[in-house]
Amino acid sequence: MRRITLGPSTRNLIMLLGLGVAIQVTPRPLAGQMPAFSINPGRMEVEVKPGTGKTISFEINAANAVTPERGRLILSPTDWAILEDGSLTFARAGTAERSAAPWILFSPSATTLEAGRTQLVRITVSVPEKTQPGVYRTGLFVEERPPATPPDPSLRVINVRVRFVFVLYVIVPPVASHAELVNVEMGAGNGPPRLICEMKNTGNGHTRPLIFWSIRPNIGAAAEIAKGGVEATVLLPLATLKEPYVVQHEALAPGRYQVSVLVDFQDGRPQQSMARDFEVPEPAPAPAPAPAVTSEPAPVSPAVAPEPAPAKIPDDH
Amino acid sequence: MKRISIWMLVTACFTILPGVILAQGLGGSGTYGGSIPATFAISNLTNGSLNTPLATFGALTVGKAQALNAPTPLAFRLRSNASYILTAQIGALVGMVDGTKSVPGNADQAIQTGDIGIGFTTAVDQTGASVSGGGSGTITRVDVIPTGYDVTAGWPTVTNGDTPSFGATLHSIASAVTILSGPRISTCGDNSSTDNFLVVTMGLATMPQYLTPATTFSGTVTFTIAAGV
Repeated sequence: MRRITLGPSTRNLIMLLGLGVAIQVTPRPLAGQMPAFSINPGRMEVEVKPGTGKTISFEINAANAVTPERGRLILSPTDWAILEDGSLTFARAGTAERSAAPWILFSPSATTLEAGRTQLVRITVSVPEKTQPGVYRTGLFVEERPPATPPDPSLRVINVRVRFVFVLYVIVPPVASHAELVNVEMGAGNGPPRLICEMKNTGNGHTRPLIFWSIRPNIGAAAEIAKGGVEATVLLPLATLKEPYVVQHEALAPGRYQVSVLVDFQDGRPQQSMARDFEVPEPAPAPAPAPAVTSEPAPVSPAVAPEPAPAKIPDDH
Repeated sequence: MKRISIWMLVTACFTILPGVILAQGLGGSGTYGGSIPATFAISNLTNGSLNTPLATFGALTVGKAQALNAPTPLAFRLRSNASYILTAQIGALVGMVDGTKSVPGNADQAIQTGDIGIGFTTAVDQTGASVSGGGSGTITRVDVIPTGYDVTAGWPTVTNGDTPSFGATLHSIASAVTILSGPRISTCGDNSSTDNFLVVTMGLATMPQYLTPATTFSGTVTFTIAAGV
């Protein structure tokens, strides 16, 4: 067997070659393994006068990852609305009332996202001449490209996909909200108590009401047993909101209560308040078990005279 | 020998060069500026992409036990540093159409979206030590599940072998609707933290019955995450 002897320079070159090979096989971003990402901000409001335009932007931020990740994102326009119960819903772009979708141009419409990277998305809003003042809305879905391979046709399966939505308000001035607290009631049911505030906006601007509540037994000056607050879902122009809010986790004990509500519409006008009495009924009796044989007489609850119903507190708008 | 060395040197340079160029993207100088964006994340229980099926039904064999077919529910994690809204919408239907549930009658019926109930089968887990308003003590946070989507007490009872009155079905999400909303979730940590997320468990159920035979059916529930709109 013939032995090959390598000189120092040749050995160095071989080592260099090995190093190069090692770098080449180092893990690179894997296609199809989408990094966790977020959008910033998730909501934007831009004021644009008729016949003019503005360019805004948001970022898609991919989180860092221990192992390299890469995936393809697609962006698509959508319309959105808030239902009366506060639910968010979507519609095909350009089909909803007061849609701003036809006014926007955005770029990119698709991009490759790698862990730790940020992608800027630019949106140019051009409001046509003679557009009526008001709040117009649109949005952009940001989602992973659907898999190229269709689902296994032999399965009975319901799949899951996840997407983000960037929400855009285009405000054509002048706008002003005119919101009102219409009614307060407690939702029926045996679960945790739910407060339902009916609010109506007759203005052409939107508002984000802050709602504060307290509940106390309706007996004299009893201390409040629950209180809290929440920022309601946006109250859009010419819309009514009857959104339920969970007041506390546990169901209230049977009895009479009063709920007081204070709403700050954050529109520079005075806060509005309202109070309502409500009653939590005794739960329906469970089905009677087979009568047990006992010699003890059944205990008798002391008779309690019903308390007179308290005078209703007038609405205080 | 010298020619071989030159050839190897050139080869080595070309071999190394792409790796060196690629490596430039893996590091870099930084500044001390920055911002903390409103961030939302949805992931599976190992913090990976949520790309598993929501439910895989086996053969819907008709029995006589009036028992629902309820595959293993899907549990996933939600993280955010701002209020959130989670909506759901069914789409991409194959072998099934959107419609209300089957009801007793003389007309032949096939499975529709109204025959598949949907809901949160387990209470939202808010016990993470870094969950805003959550934890192991008194929980003050409230994550709102709309009426009909809470099946933590169990799926409805089947009567006469028909589709029961589900609180919500895939037909309920034919258009996007909010299925969960709440305030900020995470107080700190990142997408690998073990205590800064809600665990949400969602399941489907249907009643195997004498509907028109369908070899397969499929659909896709799309979850959309929005900042407080």
